[in-house]
Amino acid sequence: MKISEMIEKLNLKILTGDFEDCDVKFGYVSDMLSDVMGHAPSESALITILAHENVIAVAMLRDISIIILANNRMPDKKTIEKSCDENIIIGVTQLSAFETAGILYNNGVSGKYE
Amino acid sequence: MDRKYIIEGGNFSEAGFASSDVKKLLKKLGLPTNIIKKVAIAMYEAEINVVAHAYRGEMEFKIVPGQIRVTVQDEGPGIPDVELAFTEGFSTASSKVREMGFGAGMGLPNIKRNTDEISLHTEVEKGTKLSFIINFT
Ligand SMILES: Nc1ncnc2c1ncn2[C@@H]1O[C@H](COP(=O)(O)OP(=O)(O)OP(=O)(O)O)[C@@H](O)[C@H]1O
Ligand SMILES: [Mg+2]
Repeated sequence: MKISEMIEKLNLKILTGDFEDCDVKFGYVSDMLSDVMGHAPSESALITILAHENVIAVAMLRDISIIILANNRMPDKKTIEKSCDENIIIGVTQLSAFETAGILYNNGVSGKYE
Repeated sequence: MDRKYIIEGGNFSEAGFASSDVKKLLKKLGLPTNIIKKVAIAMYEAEINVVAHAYRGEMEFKIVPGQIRVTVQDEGPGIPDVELAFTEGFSTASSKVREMGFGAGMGLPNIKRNTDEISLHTEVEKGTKLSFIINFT
């Protein structure tokens, strides 16, 4: 699923400026960082409600392409800056993590477990 | 190629610096992605454990032919039951730490799963020394 399709289908607001419209094949949902660390596939979409800077460190270390913040969770400025520095896209949606994952799944994003 | 990092207990905004720095170095050196992934996971979890559970610590990173060696030594409460600490799901993380998304009790198991050799020495009320090795060809 392209980032541009996510923007359309999740009504996603991108906070990190310009992005490369890459095709995201895998996804993971978690609010525990060591679970993300241990199991999230690389080059994936991470759906979470954790909106602070530690998420960026984990996403960078695990090569996650896009962080989708569910339930309209807003990161602070520092977190957005850090994300820009590390080339990780952050998008915010009003939808819940459950609904977000469902839409991604229905659009071909799968849950490869690493 | 050695690196040394100071880790401050309780400082979550700096947490992950050592692992990110090493990840960038290994990428530059052209190590295989699966090795970089293992090092990143193990180092991050070790780093976070000092931030979340100890007062201060030092992390040493070394590359020797075929091996990456990491040692993390901290001053802190130590670990009373090491076997229990390595059990997936066991955590003594405070509610403040949990709110930030830590405390799944998966850090030490993640380290074990991603390393080839691991040793942990700990003394209650003094501190903990964790060393691990990741082999590469
Ligand atoms: N450096 C340390 N000093 C003191 N206690 C530690 C240290 N590292 C781990 N522990 C103890 O071992 C437990 C398990 O550690 P582990 O990393 O597996 O989980 P966690 O840190 O609680 O949660 P997570 O890593 O999933 O965010 C901790 O809750 C803590 O009680
Ligand atoms: Mg931990």
